[in-house]
Amino acid sequence: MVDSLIKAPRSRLMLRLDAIRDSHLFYSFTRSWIVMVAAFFALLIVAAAALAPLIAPSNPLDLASLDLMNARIPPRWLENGDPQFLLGTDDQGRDLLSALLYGAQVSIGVALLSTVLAILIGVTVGLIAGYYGGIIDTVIMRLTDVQLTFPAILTALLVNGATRAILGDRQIQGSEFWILVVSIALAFWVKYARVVRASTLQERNKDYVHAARLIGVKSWKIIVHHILPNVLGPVTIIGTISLALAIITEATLSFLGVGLPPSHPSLGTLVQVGNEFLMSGEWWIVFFPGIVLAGLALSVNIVGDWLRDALNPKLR
Amino acid sequence: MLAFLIRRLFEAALVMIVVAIVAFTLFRFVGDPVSQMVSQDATIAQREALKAELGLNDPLIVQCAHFIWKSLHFDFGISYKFREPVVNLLGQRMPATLELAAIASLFAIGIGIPLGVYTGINRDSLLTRVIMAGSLIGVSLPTFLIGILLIYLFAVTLHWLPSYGRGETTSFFGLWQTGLLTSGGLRALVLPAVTLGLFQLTLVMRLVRSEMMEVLRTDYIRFGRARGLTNRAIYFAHALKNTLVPVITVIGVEIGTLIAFSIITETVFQWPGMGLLFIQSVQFADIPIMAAYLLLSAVIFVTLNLVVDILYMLIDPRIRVAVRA
Amino acid sequence: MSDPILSVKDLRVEFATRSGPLRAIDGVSFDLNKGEVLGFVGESGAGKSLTGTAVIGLIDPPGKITGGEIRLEGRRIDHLSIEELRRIRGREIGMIFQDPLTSLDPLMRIGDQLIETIITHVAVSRTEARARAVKLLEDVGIPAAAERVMSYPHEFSGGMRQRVVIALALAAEPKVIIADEPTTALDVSVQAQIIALLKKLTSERGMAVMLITHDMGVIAQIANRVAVMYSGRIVEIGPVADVVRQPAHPYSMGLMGSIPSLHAEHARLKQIPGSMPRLTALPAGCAFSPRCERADARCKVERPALAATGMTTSACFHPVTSTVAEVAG
Repeated sequence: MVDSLIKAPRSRLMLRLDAIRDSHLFYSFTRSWIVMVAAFFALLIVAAAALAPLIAPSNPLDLASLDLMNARIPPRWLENGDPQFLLGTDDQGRDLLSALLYGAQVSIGVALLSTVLAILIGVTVGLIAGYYGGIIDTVIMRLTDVQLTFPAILTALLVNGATRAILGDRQIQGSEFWILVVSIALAFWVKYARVVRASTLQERNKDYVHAARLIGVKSWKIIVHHILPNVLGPVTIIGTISLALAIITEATLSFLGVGLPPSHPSLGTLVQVGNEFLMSGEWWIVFFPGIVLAGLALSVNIVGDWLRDALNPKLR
Repeated sequence: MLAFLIRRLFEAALVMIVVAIVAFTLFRFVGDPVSQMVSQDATIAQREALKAELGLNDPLIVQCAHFIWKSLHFDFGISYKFREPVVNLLGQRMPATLELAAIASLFAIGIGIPLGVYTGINRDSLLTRVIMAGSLIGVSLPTFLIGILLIYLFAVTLHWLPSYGRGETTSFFGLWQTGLLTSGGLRALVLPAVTLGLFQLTLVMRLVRSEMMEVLRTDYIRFGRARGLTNRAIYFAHALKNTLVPVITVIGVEIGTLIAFSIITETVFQWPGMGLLFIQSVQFADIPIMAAYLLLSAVIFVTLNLVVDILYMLIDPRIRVAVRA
Repeated sequence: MSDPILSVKDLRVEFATRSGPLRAIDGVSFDLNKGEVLGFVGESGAGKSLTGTAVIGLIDPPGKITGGEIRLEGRRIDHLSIEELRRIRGREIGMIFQDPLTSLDPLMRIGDQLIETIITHVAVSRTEARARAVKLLEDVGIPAAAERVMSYPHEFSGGMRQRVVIALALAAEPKVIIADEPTTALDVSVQAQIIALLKKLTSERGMAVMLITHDMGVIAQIANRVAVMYSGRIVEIGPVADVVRQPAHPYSMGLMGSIPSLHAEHARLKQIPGSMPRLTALPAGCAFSPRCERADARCKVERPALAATGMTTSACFHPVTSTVAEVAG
């Protein structure tokens, strides 16, 4: 009759019941349909953005096609609306729908590329720190500590400003897209580096890695073939969750005027431009980019949360 | 306890040194101190003379030490754009940012904690679901969109509150312009503070909620109930107090984030603070301001972390012991 | 005999689940008399702790009392409002939990926890409550009580903390104490001290105790009667000496057979084959029948009720009174 586990049968039972309720009932009733709607919405925007050149009524990047006579036309269903411009036009006479589609393409592009770049940097640094350990590890981890003291947006702004200073005004023209990608990637690589380092430390001390080293397998081969596959799981999940953050960061930088220029707008730039006309009552110029941005960020966030919970509850 | 504090101070100093080196690199190599200080048509000889005068021919380590030494005396150089000492520019704008951040923190904590306690206690009530759904939106929306939305609602449509600027301010000995003493200044604070604090509010609320739910499951809460303690005593004297250690950590970090995010809020509301100055410096590659802002925010973040550590010890007697040992 | 201080009749506790209610306590009845220590033994999940939790009204959702009645000095307490129930807890019925390390709020001085409890129930001043707190700590054997009231829980050892827990449970002088595994988490040497303390306190104060434990040794030392629980039911109840020496229910017999004894003739401890059925898969008749050597067709379909069987009361169609008596005799 040794039952040291006797502690509280009811609480164990109830924990199980809680788990059932939390996971299944609660989940399927309140969460999954929201996740479905969010996933659908996100996919819709991504698809529309990807197909922008095909489905957009006009090319907003073609400055020659713009006509100032068409400036600030309200959406079609309002008084003075023009059937040619479904969502109205901005101050340059640009079709808002087309600008939105192209803008979403840019926003999603920056978010994806910067996340991929952040993962590349983070995984590389994390693997090196975790695998080689010692002084390299200590220095890298200390530096990540310092960077983590700063909010990501501030890091992105500083990198952005420094790059602008180095390139000078003329060279910035046309490379804003890549400056953004790099600034955002450098703001977010740290968390990947830390996760990868932790998993690498674990893997490195496993028997098969010791065995591989013993028979003289080269370090980079061990890293690429044995350790890398094991650390990619958590990285993918964090990457998905971070996409929403990258979208918001891009939009924020563009809104602050250090992102993409009005001639080649992202969603954030469109909001920034539209914001100036809010006071004069031309609400649609800021409303539509705003709502698309908000919907995109929210739905990617919801899908990311769901993915994290479903795949790896430990990453909370 | 003293040893612990000394270790923390040492770590803080380490962070500051790394940040100072980064700031120096920015200042010295990204920016070009000479070309900003001489006229376009200065001769090479004039440039060289200035370079020597500024000590730019000294060994790097000396230059770096010199930079840190000057920074410690609040000498951050001259702004490229404004042609004014950076310290004056920052000094003029600091009260605006600090007041905004302080009110936003009060808003986030003052509403976030009660909401977290409520939703943590009433886990499944309808109101809880509504609040949680709202908080998801609060976490997901970019700050500037929230600001624009608030401006549209309360300034453009309802005309209740001003949409930009600080309103009327009062001066303290010419050193500190405060907006807290006039109704106009206070009204101007409402929208920016709400915009800035909303994200932190949802974070604090979600954290307090999950910690409350965790603590309410513990044995000492069950034992408290078994002793017939009132709900008020259970929830506040025992449960809430036990959630405070993690909550304070997050609040400490988040106040730092708040100061960084004031860059966005200040841009939306044309709030004349350090954030607005900083974003202009990024736009114009005004390196001295960027370097100074970097140093200043590092000081703020590091100080906040230290304050959090000290608060830990005040709240939790176990940490006091662990620290002594 | 006088009226029992606590009387439980046909208590039923169920947990609502998606696939219907799970009955965790099924028809438990017992009386607890003034000054009596009634032990509850059984395996994990037998429902002993849950019975105690039900009596003090602390079952968390989705659990719920779905039948029967609980009377304290003749007054029904199972249908009271939350506030009325709260007033009873601590004041009329106290409870001690298993783990003294986690039962105390780590951030509050133990004196403040005591004072808080006293003031909640008794109309006394803070100064008076403080004096009482010191007295309580002395009563439970904390040395230098007047100084230790200022200490935090982590400054006490496990055994001392359990004394503090007991002091807290006694703070408002309840008539009934539910002690849920009060010694399980403690070192063996400390266990004996805590048992001695409980024994002393019950005899001095005339409290009635529901002692929930899996340790028959503890029961034998301080309980007057013992109830053996299995699958949410009491299968046997009676005076400790009789249940130990002449158990009537085959399960109790197995339970007693598995206790190590210094002067046992058997070289090996007896084991009961199999394990307790899960609540989701309770057999129709006697819950113990699948593991019982004596079970027949009737046991599988019909549930035996508690009835006098020799020296004790047990729920079995084939009690073992005579055989054990012969062996023991």
